Amino acid sequence: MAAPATQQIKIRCNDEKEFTVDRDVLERSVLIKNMLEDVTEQQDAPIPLPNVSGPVMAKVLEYCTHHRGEPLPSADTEQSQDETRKRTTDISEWDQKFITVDQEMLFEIILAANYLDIKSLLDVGCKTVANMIKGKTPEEIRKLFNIVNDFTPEEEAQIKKENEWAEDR
Amino acid sequence: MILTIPPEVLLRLLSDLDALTLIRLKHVCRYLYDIITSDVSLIYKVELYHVGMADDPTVFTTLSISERLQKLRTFLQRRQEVFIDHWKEKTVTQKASLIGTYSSGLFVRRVQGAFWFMHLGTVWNHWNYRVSTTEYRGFRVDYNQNLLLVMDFVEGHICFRPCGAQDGKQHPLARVPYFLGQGEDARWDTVSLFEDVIATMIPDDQGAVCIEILNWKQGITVTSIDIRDVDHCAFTFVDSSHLLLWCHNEEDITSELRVYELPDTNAASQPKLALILPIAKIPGKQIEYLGGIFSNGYRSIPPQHRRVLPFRSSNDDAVIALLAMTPWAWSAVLVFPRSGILSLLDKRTSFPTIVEWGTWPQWTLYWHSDSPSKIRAHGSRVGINSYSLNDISIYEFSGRRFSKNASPLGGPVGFPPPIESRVGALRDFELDDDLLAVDGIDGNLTIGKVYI
Repeated sequence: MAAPATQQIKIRCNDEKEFTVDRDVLERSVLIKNMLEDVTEQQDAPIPLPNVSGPVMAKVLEYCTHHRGEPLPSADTEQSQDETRKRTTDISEWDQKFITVDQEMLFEIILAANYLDIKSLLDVGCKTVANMIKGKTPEEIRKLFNIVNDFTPEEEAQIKKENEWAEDR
Repeated sequence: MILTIPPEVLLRLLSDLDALTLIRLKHVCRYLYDIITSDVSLIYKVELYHVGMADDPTVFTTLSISERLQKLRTFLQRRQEVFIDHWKEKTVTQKASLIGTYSSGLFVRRVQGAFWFMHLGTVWNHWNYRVSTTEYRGFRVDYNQNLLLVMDFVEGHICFRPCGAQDGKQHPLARVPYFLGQGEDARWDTVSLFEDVIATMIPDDQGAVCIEILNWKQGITVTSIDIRDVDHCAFTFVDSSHLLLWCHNEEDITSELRVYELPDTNAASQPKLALILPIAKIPGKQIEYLGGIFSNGYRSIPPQHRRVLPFRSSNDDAVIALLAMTPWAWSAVLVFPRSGILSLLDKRTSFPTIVEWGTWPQWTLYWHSDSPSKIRAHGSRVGINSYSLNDISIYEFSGRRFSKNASPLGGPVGFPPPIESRVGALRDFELDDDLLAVDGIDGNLTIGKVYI
């Protein structure tokens, strides 16, 4: 089989923005990889990605380009995936810089990584959000994510009672 | 924004968080509350935090997360039942010889040839049960089944009888004695009970240890396990088909954890050694943790990732004794018998920690019917009692005064150590060398003394 490394693929985002990208970069996305494998003949029409916008895709492509050539996580059993995730609890320096974006973009990247099925990027996103939450009080978390407290005072008292032991000791 | 991501992604994100953060997130809004309280592994993580265990024990393939959660809840419920937050004092005035105690204040007395099992605790208050046995050898209580098993020596065999519950009625099986081991030397101080199965340790003529496993409801021996080259052994049932053993060798001061898969009652096959793993080694002044229970099962740790736990150098050899164990966590003490130093070795998170507790007069190790091993300082004035991993304390007595020193690591994992160190005084009796038995759970203390 000839090396398809130089093959260029066109994609189109939901805001009509188009990208032309090396095939191996795009194949970081399991979704696109499967799409490309299903199509046997050369197509000129761009692949439509209705769930991703241009600015987010640019960011995702930056990630994929940096990590091109790295082995993809194999579709092994759940357990070995868990192990891989546990071993890489730290986010690498490059990824950390990459993911230092505003909150809206962060969640857009998580959604895109989920949709495009890029496991390592989804992990980086989830861990970043987890790190933002850790050690914060409920009120701080509400402020951080702009969440409205929708409990009734009675419910709140009830939950507080449930969890009293955890905070008081 | 966080609320707009799909639930499966949110769950993945939440699985990266520790229990305390999850508890806080439950306060934030209804949606987060609902999602955290709907996922069994998150619920499990939070409830595990209650009992002070941080492990996520995907240890035994036979148990699912929801089964584990069920187990944990049963355990929690039982703990709550026996919890009482004040000292309790009771005096038994009847002249009797006290021959044994059990956790939460069960006493055995011998009165004119018969044996009385009397409960001074809170749940089984005033439980007073008379058993006539030919040759009493010991007893065991299963609080779940309200069952009292009395061990007897009949016609050269050790047998036990299930006796009645506290409602005064006899247990349906009370009249049927089940024969267990043979010989006078059968050791009844180490017995573990799990639902229908009971395991007991019997040393054979050559000094090897044999653990017999019996289905007491059917009255048949399921299997037996031979253990050689081991000085101390403690065990607990994980479930009715898995026995977890802590084996300790005094000569080179090593311990190891073993898991045995027990055969079905009907299959006359041998127990399968599912795993053998060294857990501790002391080359002089430190412990090297070689492997143990991790979230994905029993594993040995590769050399480059091993952790060494140093402890205060001492010129006498340490003895390790196990105080409490659950399928996925354990707590042990390092005793330096000559210098009196006591250190606590505690494994409730992924790796064990070691903390020096203090210096007390010389310690001895003795076997006790309640926990795998107990430790007491010479003279019986100071003793350690462990009811669970979260409640390990040293009791000290002097005259009419007593004190309870909670272990520096004794509380739930993740909380600051309990500062509890209580001192009390007894009104009616002097604590002297006649003091025979002390038992305490949480805030409940029972003290036994012989009157002559």
